Amino acid sequence: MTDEKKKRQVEVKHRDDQYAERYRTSIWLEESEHENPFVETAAFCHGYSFEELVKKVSYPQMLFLLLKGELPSKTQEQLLNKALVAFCHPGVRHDAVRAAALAGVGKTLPQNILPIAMLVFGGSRTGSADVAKMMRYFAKTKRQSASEALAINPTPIVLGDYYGEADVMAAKIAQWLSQGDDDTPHIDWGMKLVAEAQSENEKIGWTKASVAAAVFCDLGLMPKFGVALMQLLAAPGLLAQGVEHANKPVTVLPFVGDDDYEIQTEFAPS
Amino acid sequence: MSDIDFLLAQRGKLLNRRGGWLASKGVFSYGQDLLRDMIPNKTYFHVLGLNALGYVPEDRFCRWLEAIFICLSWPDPRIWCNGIGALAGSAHTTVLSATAAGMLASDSEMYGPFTAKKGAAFIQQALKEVELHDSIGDFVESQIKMSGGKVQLMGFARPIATGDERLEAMLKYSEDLGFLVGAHVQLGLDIEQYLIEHYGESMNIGGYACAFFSDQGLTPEQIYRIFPSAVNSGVTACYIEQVEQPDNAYLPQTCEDIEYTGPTKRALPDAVTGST
Repeated sequence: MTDEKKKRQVEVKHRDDQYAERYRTSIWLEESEHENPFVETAAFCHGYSFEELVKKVSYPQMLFLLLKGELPSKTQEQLLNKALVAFCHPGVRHDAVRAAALAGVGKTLPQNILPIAMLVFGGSRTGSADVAKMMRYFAKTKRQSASEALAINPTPIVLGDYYGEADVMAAKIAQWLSQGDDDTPHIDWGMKLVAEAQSENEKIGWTKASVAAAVFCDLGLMPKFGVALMQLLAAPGLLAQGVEHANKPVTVLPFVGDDDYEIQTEFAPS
Repeated sequence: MSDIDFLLAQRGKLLNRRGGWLASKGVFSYGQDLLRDMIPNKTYFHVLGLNALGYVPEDRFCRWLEAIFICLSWPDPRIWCNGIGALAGSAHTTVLSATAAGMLASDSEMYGPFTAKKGAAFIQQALKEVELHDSIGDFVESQIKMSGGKVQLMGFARPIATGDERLEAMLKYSEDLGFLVGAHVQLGLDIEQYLIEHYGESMNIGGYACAFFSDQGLTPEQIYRIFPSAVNSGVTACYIEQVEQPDNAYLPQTCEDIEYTGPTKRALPDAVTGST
Protein backbone atom coordinates (compact mmCIF):
# COMPACT_ATOMS: atom_id res chain seq x y z
CA MET A 1 0.00 0.00 0.00
CA THR A 2 2.68 2.50 1.01
CA ASP A 3 4.70 1.82 -2.13
CA GLU A 4 1.60 2.20 -4.27
CA LYS A 5 0.71 5.46 -2.57
CA LYS A 6 4.14 6.86 -3.32
CA LYS A 7 3.72 5.97 -6.95
CA ARG A 8 0.39 7.74 -7.28
CA GLN A 9 0.85 11.24 -8.59
CA VAL A 10 -2.53 12.29 -9.81
CA GLU A 11 -3.25 15.93 -10.39
CA VAL A 12 -6.89 16.95 -10.22
CA LYS A 13 -7.73 19.55 -12.82
CA HIS A 14 -10.69 20.60 -14.91
CA ARG A 15 -10.93 19.16 -18.39
CA ASP A 16 -10.96 21.50 -21.34
CA ASP A 17 -14.53 20.49 -22.21
CA GLN A 18 -16.43 23.26 -23.93
CA TYR A 19 -19.80 23.62 -22.26
CA ALA A 20 -22.69 25.39 -23.98
CA GLU A 21 -23.13 28.99 -22.95
CA ARG A 22 -26.91 28.80 -23.27
CA TYR A 23 -29.59 26.14 -22.97
CA ARG A 24 -30.55 25.08 -26.46
CA THR A 25 -33.87 23.60 -27.63
CA SER A 26 -35.64 23.00 -30.89
CA ILE A 27 -38.97 22.36 -29.17
CA TRP A 28 -40.14 25.47 -27.41
CA LEU A 29 -39.68 29.18 -28.02
CA GLU A 30 -40.66 31.82 -25.52
CA GLU A 31 -40.74 35.51 -26.34
CA SER A 32 -41.09 38.48 -24.08
CA GLU A 33 -42.52 41.85 -24.92
CA HIS A 34 -42.80 42.61 -21.23
CA GLU A 35 -40.59 45.16 -19.54
CA ASN A 36 -39.44 42.28 -17.37
CA PRO A 37 -37.43 39.97 -19.68
CA PHE A 38 -38.15 36.98 -17.44
CA VAL A 39 -41.90 37.14 -18.19
CA GLU A 40 -42.89 35.44 -21.44
CA THR A 41 -45.77 36.89 -23.41
CA ALA A 42 -45.85 34.40 -26.30
CA ALA A 43 -44.80 30.81 -26.81
CA PHE A 44 -44.33 28.53 -29.81
CA CYS A 45 -43.97 24.76 -30.09
CA HIS A 46 -41.93 23.66 -33.08
CA GLY A 47 -42.91 26.90 -34.74
CA TYR A 48 -46.64 26.75 -34.03
CA SER A 49 -48.26 29.38 -31.84
CA PHE A 50 -49.05 27.96 -28.41
CA GLU A 51 -52.29 29.89 -28.46
CA GLU A 52 -53.32 28.28 -31.76
CA LEU A 53 -52.37 24.85 -30.48
CA VAL A 54 -54.41 25.28 -27.31
CA LYS A 55 -57.42 26.35 -29.32
CA LYS A 56 -57.22 23.95 -32.26
CA VAL A 57 -55.35 20.69 -31.72
CA SER A 58 -56.19 17.56 -29.77
CA TYR A 59 -54.03 16.18 -26.99
CA PRO A 60 -52.72 13.32 -29.20
CA GLN A 61 -51.75 15.85 -31.86
CA MET A 62 -49.92 17.97 -29.30
CA LEU A 63 -48.15 14.97 -27.79
CA PHE A 64 -47.04 13.79 -31.23
CA LEU A 65 -45.80 17.29 -32.10
CA LEU A 66 -43.74 17.45 -28.92
CA LEU A 67 -42.11 14.07 -29.56
CA LYS A 68 -41.71 14.19 -33.34
CA GLY A 69 -41.53 17.88 -34.17
CA GLU A 70 -44.36 17.62 -36.67
CA LEU A 71 -48.10 17.18 -36.38
CA PRO A 72 -49.37 13.64 -36.98
CA SER A 73 -51.31 12.45 -39.99
CA LYS A 74 -54.93 11.62 -39.34
CA THR A 75 -54.05 7.92 -39.14
CA GLN A 76 -51.21 8.55 -36.71
CA GLU A 77 -53.44 10.76 -34.56
CA GLN A 78 -56.09 8.04 -34.42
CA LEU A 79 -53.53 5.40 -33.51
CA LEU A 80 -51.96 7.52 -30.78
CA ASN A 81 -55.39 8.38 -29.46
CA LYS A 82 -56.22 4.67 -29.24
CA ALA A 83 -52.90 3.99 -27.52
CA LEU A 84 -53.57 6.73 -24.98
CA VAL A 85 -56.75 4.89 -24.05
CA ALA A 86 -55.34 1.37 -24.33
CA PHE A 87 -52.45 1.98 -21.95
CA CYS A 88 -54.08 4.49 -19.57
CA HIS A 89 -54.53 1.87 -16.83
CA PRO A 90 -52.06 -0.94 -16.19
CA GLY A 91 -54.69 -3.07 -14.47
CA VAL A 92 -55.96 -2.90 -10.92
CA ARG A 93 -53.64 -5.68 -9.68
CA HIS A 94 -50.51 -4.19 -11.20
CA ASP A 95 -47.73 -3.45 -8.72
CA ALA A 96 -47.71 0.21 -9.78
CA VAL A 97 -51.43 0.60 -9.12
CA ARG A 98 -51.04 -1.07 -5.74
CA ALA A 99 -48.14 1.28 -4.99
CA ALA A 100 -50.34 4.25 -5.93
CA ALA A 101 -53.12 3.03 -3.64
CA LEU A 102 -50.68 2.34 -0.82
CA ALA A 103 -49.25 5.84 -1.14
CA GLY A 104 -52.72 7.36 -1.23
CA VAL A 105 -54.00 5.50 1.79
CA GLY A 106 -50.73 6.15 3.59
CA LYS A 107 -51.50 9.85 3.18
CA THR A 108 -48.38 10.40 1.15
CA LEU A 109 -48.31 14.01 0.00
CA PRO A 110 -50.41 14.20 -3.16
CA GLN A 111 -47.57 15.53 -5.28
CA ASN A 112 -45.64 12.33 -4.59
CA ILE A 113 -48.32 9.76 -5.39
CA LEU A 114 -48.05 9.80 -9.17
CA PRO A 115 -44.22 9.87 -9.29
CA ILE A 116 -44.13 6.93 -6.88
CA ALA A 117 -46.51 4.87 -9.00
CA MET A 118 -44.76 5.79 -12.24
CA LEU A 119 -41.42 4.72 -10.78
CA VAL A 120 -42.83 1.32 -9.92
CA PHE A 121 -44.32 1.16 -13.40
CA GLY A 122 -40.78 1.67 -14.69
CA GLY A 123 -39.86 -1.88 -13.71
CA SER A 124 -38.82 -4.49 -16.24
CA ARG A 125 -41.44 -7.05 -15.22
CA THR A 126 -44.83 -5.95 -16.61
CA GLY A 127 -43.62 -2.34 -16.71
CA SER A 128 -42.00 0.03 -19.15
CA ALA A 129 -38.27 -0.51 -18.55
CA ASP A 130 -37.66 -2.62 -21.64
CA VAL A 131 -39.84 -0.76 -24.13
CA ALA A 132 -36.87 0.91 -25.84
CA LYS A 133 -35.10 -2.45 -26.26
CA MET A 134 -38.33 -3.90 -27.63
CA MET A 135 -38.66 -1.05 -30.11
CA ARG A 136 -35.12 -1.68 -31.30
CA TYR A 137 -35.93 -5.36 -31.70
CA PHE A 138 -38.98 -4.60 -33.86
CA ALA A 139 -37.08 -2.07 -35.94
CA LYS A 140 -34.19 -4.42 -36.52
CA THR A 141 -36.08 -7.66 -37.00
CA LYS A 142 -39.26 -6.73 -38.82
CA ARG A 143 -37.60 -7.21 -42.21
CA GLN A 144 -37.31 -10.92 -41.46
CA SER A 145 -40.16 -13.37 -41.53
CA ALA A 146 -41.48 -14.42 -38.13
CA SER A 147 -40.02 -17.90 -38.52
CA GLU A 148 -36.63 -16.50 -39.52
CA ALA A 149 -36.65 -14.17 -36.55
CA LEU A 150 -37.45 -17.00 -34.13
CA ALA A 151 -34.85 -19.26 -35.70
CA ILE A 152 -32.23 -16.63 -34.94
CA ASN A 153 -33.60 -15.80 -31.49
CA PRO A 154 -36.21 -18.20 -30.07
CA THR A 155 -36.82 -16.03 -26.99
CA PRO A 156 -36.97 -12.44 -28.20
CA ILE A 157 -37.51 -9.69 -25.64
CA VAL A 158 -40.93 -8.88 -27.11
CA LEU A 159 -42.38 -12.25 -26.09
CA GLY A 160 -43.16 -13.26 -22.55
CA ASP A 161 -45.58 -14.91 -20.19
CA TYR A 162 -48.05 -13.54 -17.67
CA TYR A 163 -48.63 -15.61 -14.55
CA GLY A 164 -47.19 -18.51 -16.52
CA GLU A 165 -49.61 -18.06 -19.44
CA ALA A 166 -49.86 -16.02 -22.59
CA ASP A 167 -51.21 -12.56 -21.69
CA VAL A 168 -54.74 -12.60 -23.06
CA MET A 169 -55.39 -8.92 -22.46
CA ALA A 170 -52.13 -7.86 -24.14
CA ALA A 171 -53.13 -9.89 -27.22
CA LYS A 172 -56.55 -8.26 -27.25
CA ILE A 173 -55.04 -4.79 -27.02
CA ALA A 174 -52.81 -5.61 -29.99
CA GLN A 175 -55.89 -6.65 -31.94
CA TRP A 176 -57.79 -3.52 -30.94
CA LEU A 177 -54.91 -1.29 -32.02
CA SER A 178 -54.24 -3.00 -35.32
CA GLN A 179 -55.29 -0.84 -38.21
CA GLY A 180 -54.00 -3.04 -41.03
CA ASP A 181 -50.60 -3.72 -42.44
CA ASP A 182 -50.09 -0.29 -43.98
CA ASP A 183 -50.77 1.72 -40.87
CA THR A 184 -49.64 -0.62 -38.10
CA PRO A 185 -46.94 -2.79 -39.70
CA HIS A 186 -45.08 -3.46 -36.46
CA ILE A 187 -48.18 -4.60 -34.60
CA ASP A 188 -49.17 -6.82 -37.49
CA TRP A 189 -45.68 -8.29 -37.82
CA GLY A 190 -45.74 -8.86 -34.06
CA MET A 191 -48.97 -10.81 -34.41
CA LYS A 192 -47.28 -13.09 -36.91
CA LEU A 193 -44.34 -13.50 -34.54
CA VAL A 194 -46.66 -14.37 -31.65
CA ALA A 195 -48.60 -16.88 -33.77
CA GLU A 196 -45.39 -18.53 -34.92
CA ALA A 197 -44.02 -18.69 -31.37
CA GLN A 198 -47.27 -20.06 -29.97
CA SER A 199 -47.18 -22.92 -32.45
CA GLU A 200 -44.28 -24.17 -30.32
CA ASN A 201 -45.29 -22.82 -26.92
CA GLU A 202 -48.82 -21.58 -26.32
CA LYS A 203 -47.89 -20.11 -22.94
CA ILE A 204 -45.93 -17.17 -24.35
CA GLY A 205 -47.12 -14.21 -26.37
CA TRP A 206 -47.41 -10.45 -26.38
CA THR A 207 -46.64 -8.50 -23.26
CA LYS A 208 -48.36 -5.17 -22.70
CA ALA A 209 -44.98 -3.49 -22.98
CA SER A 210 -44.24 -5.17 -26.30
CA VAL A 211 -47.60 -4.06 -27.68
CA ALA A 212 -46.78 -0.51 -26.63
CA ALA A 213 -43.36 -0.84 -28.25
CA ALA A 214 -44.92 -1.98 -31.52
CA VAL A 215 -47.37 0.93 -31.48
CA PHE A 216 -44.61 3.41 -30.79
CA CYS A 217 -42.69 1.98 -33.76
CA ASP A 218 -45.78 2.34 -35.93
CA LEU A 219 -45.99 5.97 -34.86
CA GLY A 220 -42.41 6.45 -36.01
CA LEU A 221 -41.18 7.39 -32.56
CA MET A 222 -37.57 6.94 -31.55
CA PRO A 223 -36.80 4.19 -29.03
CA LYS A 224 -35.37 6.69 -26.56
CA PHE A 225 -38.91 7.95 -25.92
CA GLY A 226 -40.38 4.50 -25.36
CA VAL A 227 -39.77 3.82 -21.68
CA ALA A 228 -40.98 7.16 -20.36
CA LEU A 229 -43.81 7.43 -22.88
CA MET A 230 -45.35 4.21 -21.64
CA GLN A 231 -45.07 5.58 -18.09
CA LEU A 232 -46.81 8.74 -19.24
CA LEU A 233 -49.59 6.78 -20.89
CA ALA A 234 -50.21 4.83 -17.67
CA ALA A 235 -50.32 7.99 -15.55
CA PRO A 236 -54.11 8.58 -15.63
CA GLY A 237 -54.92 5.15 -14.23
CA LEU A 238 -52.19 5.41 -11.63
CA LEU A 239 -53.43 8.84 -10.61
CA ALA A 240 -57.04 7.73 -10.34
CA GLN A 241 -56.23 4.63 -8.29
CA GLY A 242 -53.81 6.50 -6.06
CA VAL A 243 -56.29 9.18 -5.18
CA GLU A 244 -59.37 6.94 -4.94
CA HIS A 245 -58.81 6.12 -1.28
CA ALA A 246 -56.52 9.02 -0.41
CA ASN A 247 -58.68 10.51 2.32
CA LYS A 248 -59.84 7.26 3.85
CA PRO A 249 -58.51 5.48 6.94
CA VAL A 250 -55.70 2.98 6.49
CA THR A 251 -58.17 0.21 7.33
CA VAL A 252 -59.65 0.60 3.84
CA LEU A 253 -56.81 -1.64 2.60
CA PRO A 254 -56.18 -5.22 3.77
CA PHE A 255 -53.43 -5.61 6.34
CA VAL A 256 -51.48 -8.81 6.80
CA GLY A 257 -51.77 -9.83 10.46
CA ASP A 258 -48.98 -11.47 12.44
CA ASP A 259 -50.64 -14.85 12.03
CA ASP A 260 -50.11 -14.55 8.26
CA TYR A 261 -46.66 -13.05 8.57
CA GLU A 262 -43.97 -15.68 8.75
CA ILE A 263 -40.24 -15.15 9.19
CA GLN A 264 -38.00 -17.90 7.83
CA THR A 265 -36.98 -20.39 10.47
CA GLU A 266 -33.36 -19.48 9.84
CA PHE A 267 -34.05 -15.85 10.77
CA ALA A 268 -36.91 -16.27 13.22
CA PRO A 269 -36.63 -14.77 16.71
CA SER A 270 -36.03 -17.33 19.42
CA MET B 1 -46.48 -27.46 -6.00
CA SER B 2 -47.37 -25.88 -9.34
CA ASP B 3 -46.68 -22.22 -10.06
CA ILE B 4 -50.37 -21.42 -9.70
CA ASP B 5 -50.67 -23.33 -6.41
CA PHE B 6 -47.61 -21.44 -5.15
CA LEU B 7 -49.22 -18.09 -5.98
CA LEU B 8 -52.54 -19.13 -4.44
CA ALA B 9 -50.73 -20.03 -1.23
CA GLN B 10 -49.27 -16.50 -1.05
CA ARG B 11 -52.64 -14.72 -1.21
CA GLY B 12 -53.14 -12.57 1.89
CA LYS B 13 -49.99 -13.89 3.50
CA LEU B 14 -46.36 -12.83 3.69
CA LEU B 15 -44.43 -16.04 4.07
CA ASN B 16 -40.79 -16.98 4.34
CA ARG B 17 -39.65 -13.43 5.09
CA ARG B 18 -36.13 -12.46 6.10
CA GLY B 19 -37.28 -10.03 8.74
CA GLY B 20 -40.05 -7.78 9.96
CA TRP B 21 -41.92 -6.47 12.96
CA LEU B 22 -43.68 -8.95 15.16
CA ALA B 23 -45.79 -7.16 17.74
CA SER B 24 -44.67 -7.94 21.31
CA LYS B 25 -41.60 -9.77 20.01
CA GLY B 26 -39.57 -7.10 18.29
CA VAL B 27 -38.11 -6.02 14.97
CA PHE B 28 -35.84 -8.45 13.18
CA SER B 29 -33.63 -8.51 10.12
CA TYR B 30 -31.81 -11.64 9.06
CA GLY B 31 -32.08 -12.94 12.62
CA GLN B 32 -30.72 -9.76 14.21
CA ASP B 33 -32.85 -8.08 16.85
CA LEU B 34 -32.66 -4.46 15.77
CA LEU B 35 -33.88 -2.96 19.03
CA ARG B 36 -32.07 -5.15 21.53
CA ASP B 37 -28.87 -6.03 19.67
CA MET B 38 -28.21 -3.44 17.00
CA ILE B 39 -29.16 -0.19 18.73
CA PRO B 40 -26.83 -0.56 21.71
CA ASN B 41 -23.98 -2.19 19.83
CA LYS B 42 -23.94 -1.10 16.19
CA THR B 43 -24.24 1.93 13.93
CA TYR B 44 -26.66 2.85 11.17
CA PHE B 45 -24.11 1.66 8.62
CA HIS B 46 -24.10 -1.78 10.21
CA VAL B 47 -27.85 -1.89 9.67
CA LEU B 48 -27.47 -0.57 6.12
CA GLY B 49 -25.01 -3.37 5.45
CA LEU B 50 -27.22 -5.93 7.14
CA ASN B 51 -30.31 -5.03 5.13
CA ALA B 52 -28.40 -4.87 1.84
CA LEU B 53 -26.13 -7.88 2.27
CA GLY B 54 -27.94 -10.14 4.71
CA TYR B 55 -25.23 -10.15 7.38
CA VAL B 56 -23.70 -7.68 9.80
CA PRO B 57 -20.43 -6.52 8.24
CA GLU B 58 -17.36 -6.10 10.40
CA ASP B 59 -16.92 -2.74 12.16
CA ARG B 60 -14.09 -1.45 10.00
CA PHE B 61 -16.06 -2.25 6.84
CA CYS B 62 -18.92 -0.11 8.12
CA ARG B 63 -16.55 2.75 8.94
CA TRP B 64 -15.15 2.47 5.42
CA LEU B 65 -18.69 2.43 4.03
CA GLU B 66 -19.55 5.58 5.96
CA ALA B 67 -16.44 7.24 4.58
CA ILE B 68 -17.28 6.41 0.98
CA PHE B 69 -20.75 7.87 1.52
CA ILE B 70 -19.02 11.10 2.55
CA CYS B 71 -17.08 10.97 -0.71
CA LEU B 72 -20.25 10.62 -2.75
CA SER B 73 -22.32 13.34 -1.15
CA TRP B 74 -21.10 16.86 -1.84
CA PRO B 75 -23.01 20.11 -1.33
CA ASP B 76 -22.25 21.39 -4.84
CA PRO B 77 -25.24 21.93 -7.17
CA ARG B 78 -23.08 21.68 -10.28
CA ILE B 79 -23.16 17.92 -9.83
CA TRP B 80 -26.21 16.66 -11.70
CA CYS B 81 -28.12 15.02 -8.85
CA ASN B 82 -27.39 17.96 -6.57
CA GLY B 83 -28.56 20.37 -9.25
CA ILE B 84 -31.91 18.63 -9.12
CA GLY B 85 -31.94 19.18 -5.37
CA ALA B 86 -31.27 22.87 -5.95
CA LEU B 87 -33.99 23.14 -8.60
CA ALA B 88 -36.38 21.40 -6.22
CA GLY B 89 -35.41 23.98 -3.62
CA SER B 90 -36.05 26.72 -6.14
CA ALA B 91 -39.45 25.17 -6.83
CA HIS B 92 -40.14 24.86 -3.08
CA THR B 93 -40.84 21.14 -3.08
CA THR B 94 -40.57 19.32 0.22
CA VAL B 95 -37.09 18.33 1.31
CA LEU B 96 -38.00 14.68 0.86
CA SER B 97 -39.23 15.16 -2.70
CA ALA B 98 -36.03 17.02 -3.47
CA THR B 99 -33.78 14.42 -1.93
CA ALA B 100 -35.62 11.51 -3.52
CA ALA B 101 -35.50 13.24 -6.92
CA GLY B 102 -31.77 13.81 -6.60
CA MET B 103 -31.17 10.23 -5.54
CA LEU B 104 -33.15 9.03 -8.55
CA ALA B 105 -31.02 11.19 -10.79
CA SER B 106 -27.95 9.38 -9.51
CA ASP B 107 -29.37 6.14 -10.92
CA SER B 108 -27.39 7.07 -13.99
CA GLU B 109 -25.37 5.48 -16.76
CA MET B 110 -22.72 8.18 -16.27
CA TYR B 111 -22.12 8.46 -12.54
CA GLY B 112 -23.45 7.34 -9.18
CA PRO B 113 -24.63 4.01 -7.78
CA PHE B 114 -25.85 2.52 -11.06
CA THR B 115 -22.38 2.70 -12.54
CA ALA B 116 -21.03 0.76 -9.56
CA LYS B 117 -22.66 -2.39 -10.87
CA LYS B 118 -20.88 -2.07 -14.18
CA GLY B 119 -17.67 -0.93 -12.52
CA ALA B 120 -17.61 -3.96 -10.27
CA ALA B 121 -18.40 -6.29 -13.13
CA PHE B 122 -15.55 -4.73 -15.09
CA ILE B 123 -12.86 -5.05 -12.41
CA GLN B 124 -13.96 -8.57 -11.50
CA GLN B 125 -13.92 -9.66 -15.12
CA ALA B 126 -10.64 -7.82 -15.69
CA LEU B 127 -8.98 -9.80 -12.92
CA LYS B 128 -9.88 -12.98 -14.77
CA GLU B 129 -8.94 -11.67 -18.21
CA VAL B 130 -5.75 -9.81 -17.49
CA GLU B 131 -3.84 -13.05 -17.18
CA LEU B 132 -4.71 -13.82 -20.79
CA HIS B 133 -2.79 -10.77 -21.93
CA ASP B 134 0.93 -10.18 -22.10
CA SER B 135 0.76 -7.15 -19.84
CA ILE B 136 -1.56 -4.67 -18.15
CA GLY B 137 -0.94 -2.32 -21.05
CA ASP B 138 -1.96 -5.00 -23.52
CA PHE B 139 -5.20 -5.54 -21.59
CA VAL B 140 -5.95 -1.82 -21.30
CA GLU B 141 -5.30 -1.25 -24.98
CA SER B 142 -7.64 -4.11 -25.87
CA GLN B 143 -10.37 -2.40 -23.82
CA ILE B 144 -9.72 0.97 -25.41
CA LYS B 145 -9.82 -0.61 -28.85
CA MET B 146 -13.24 -2.10 -28.04
CA SER B 147 -14.43 1.41 -27.12
CA GLY B 148 -13.44 2.84 -30.48
CA GLY B 149 -10.18 4.30 -29.19
CA LYS B 150 -11.73 6.10 -26.21
CA VAL B 151 -10.73 5.60 -22.58
CA GLN B 152 -14.09 4.30 -21.38
CA LEU B 153 -13.05 1.69 -18.85
CA MET B 154 -15.78 1.66 -16.22
CA GLY B 155 -14.33 3.06 -13.01
CA PHE B 156 -11.61 5.05 -14.69
CA ALA B 157 -11.61 8.70 -15.76
CA ARG B 158 -14.49 10.95 -14.67
CA PRO B 159 -16.62 13.77 -16.10
CA ILE B 160 -15.61 17.44 -15.71
CA ALA B 161 -12.11 16.82 -14.32
CA THR B 162 -9.19 14.48 -14.58
CA GLY B 163 -7.88 12.91 -11.40
CA ASP B 164 -9.94 12.24 -8.29
CA GLU B 165 -8.91 13.73 -4.96
CA ARG B 166 -11.16 11.34 -3.06
CA LEU B 167 -9.01 8.37 -3.91
CA GLU B 168 -6.02 9.55 -1.93
CA ALA B 169 -8.17 10.10 1.14
CA MET B 170 -9.84 6.70 0.85
CA LEU B 171 -6.59 4.84 0.19
CA LYS B 172 -5.16 6.33 3.36
CA TYR B 173 -8.30 5.64 5.36
CA SER B 174 -8.35 2.04 4.16
CA GLU B 175 -4.79 1.66 5.33
CA ASP B 176 -5.64 3.27 8.68
CA LEU B 177 -8.44 0.76 9.12
CA GLY B 178 -6.02 -2.08 8.48
CA PHE B 179 -7.25 -3.16 5.07
CA LEU B 180 -4.58 -4.66 2.89
CA VAL B 181 -4.56 -3.87 -0.81
CA GLY B 182 -6.45 -6.77 -2.38
CA ALA B 183 -6.17 -8.19 -5.86
CA HIS B 184 -8.90 -5.99 -7.35
CA VAL B 185 -7.62 -2.75 -5.86
CA GLN B 186 -4.09 -3.63 -6.92
CA LEU B 187 -5.30 -4.29 -10.45
CA GLY B 188 -7.13 -0.97 -10.41
CA LEU B 189 -3.96 0.81 -9.35
CA ASP B 190 -1.96 -0.99 -12.03
CA ILE B 191 -4.48 -0.04 -14.71
CA GLU B 192 -4.45 3.49 -13.38
CA GLN B 193 -0.67 3.67 -13.58
CA TYR B 194 -0.80 2.70 -17.25
CA LEU B 195 -3.59 5.19 -17.96
CA ILE B 196 -1.75 8.01 -16.21
CA GLU B 197 1.39 7.37 -18.23
CA HIS B 198 -0.34 7.00 -21.59
CA TYR B 199 -3.61 8.90 -21.42
CA GLY B 200 -3.48 11.22 -18.41
CA GLU B 201 -6.49 9.47 -16.88
CA SER B 202 -6.81 7.80 -13.50
CA MET B 203 -9.10 5.63 -11.40
CA ASN B 204 -12.20 7.41 -10.12
CA ILE B 205 -13.74 6.98 -6.68
CA GLY B 206 -16.43 4.68 -8.04
CA GLY B 207 -13.84 2.44 -9.62
CA TYR B 208 -11.89 2.30 -6.41
CA ALA B 209 -15.00 1.54 -4.38
CA CYS B 210 -15.92 -1.26 -6.79
CA ALA B 211 -12.45 -2.74 -6.53
CA PHE B 212 -12.46 -2.47 -2.73
CA PHE B 213 -15.90 -4.05 -2.41
CA SER B 214 -14.82 -6.78 -4.82
CA ASP B 215 -11.86 -7.52 -2.58
CA GLN B 216 -14.36 -7.89 0.27
CA GLY B 217 -16.19 -10.54 -1.74
CA LEU B 218 -19.23 -8.53 -2.82
CA THR B 219 -20.94 -9.17 -6.14
CA PRO B 220 -21.79 -6.29 -8.51
CA GLU B 221 -25.45 -6.52 -7.52
CA GLN B 222 -24.58 -6.40 -3.81
CA ILE B 223 -22.48 -3.31 -4.41
CA TYR B 224 -25.39 -1.60 -6.19
CA ARG B 225 -27.69 -2.58 -3.32
CA ILE B 226 -25.47 -1.03 -0.68
CA PHE B 227 -25.22 2.29 -2.50
CA PRO B 228 -28.69 3.57 -3.48
CA SER B 229 -28.80 6.40 -0.95
CA ALA B 230 -25.16 7.42 -1.31
CA VAL B 231 -25.76 10.91 -2.70
CA ASN B 232 -28.70 11.89 -0.51
CA SER B 233 -26.99 14.21 1.93
CA GLY B 234 -25.41 16.38 -0.76
CA VAL B 235 -28.76 16.71 -2.50
CA THR B 236 -30.41 17.75 0.75
CA ALA B 237 -27.71 20.35 1.34
CA CYS B 238 -28.26 21.85 -2.11
CA TYR B 239 -32.02 21.86 -1.59
CA ILE B 240 -31.75 23.64 1.75
CA GLU B 241 -29.36 26.26 0.46
CA GLN B 242 -31.66 27.07 -2.45
CA VAL B 243 -35.02 26.94 -0.71
CA GLU B 244 -33.77 29.65 1.63
CA GLN B 245 -32.76 31.94 -1.26
CA PRO B 246 -35.05 34.57 -2.85
CA ASP B 247 -37.53 33.20 -5.40
CA ASN B 248 -36.20 32.32 -8.86
CA ALA B 249 -32.63 32.99 -7.81
CA TYR B 250 -31.17 29.67 -9.03
CA LEU B 251 -29.45 30.46 -12.33
CA PRO B 252 -32.35 32.63 -13.56
CA GLN B 253 -32.97 32.70 -17.32
CA THR B 254 -34.60 35.41 -19.35
CA CYS B 255 -36.50 34.38 -22.46
CA GLU B 256 -33.51 35.54 -24.50
CA ASP B 257 -31.18 33.25 -22.59
CA ILE B 258 -32.66 30.20 -24.31
CA GLU B 259 -31.28 29.43 -27.75
CA TYR B 260 -34.17 28.22 -29.89
CA THR B 261 -33.06 26.04 -32.80
CA GLY B 262 -36.42 24.75 -34.05
CA PRO B 263 -38.55 25.64 -37.05
CA THR B 264 -39.42 29.25 -37.72
CA LYS B 265 -42.90 30.39 -36.84
CA ARG B 266 -45.56 28.76 -39.00
CA ALA B 267 -49.32 28.53 -39.26
CA LEU B 268 -51.22 25.37 -38.44
CA PRO B 269 -52.09 23.33 -41.55
CA ASP B 270 -55.59 23.75 -42.88
CA ALA B 271 -56.27 20.07 -42.26
CA VAL B 272 -55.66 20.53 -38.55
CA THR B 273 -57.66 23.70 -38.38
CA GLY B 274 -60.53 22.02 -40.17
CA SER B 275 -60.42 18.88 -38.06
CA THR B 276 -61.31 20.57 -34.83
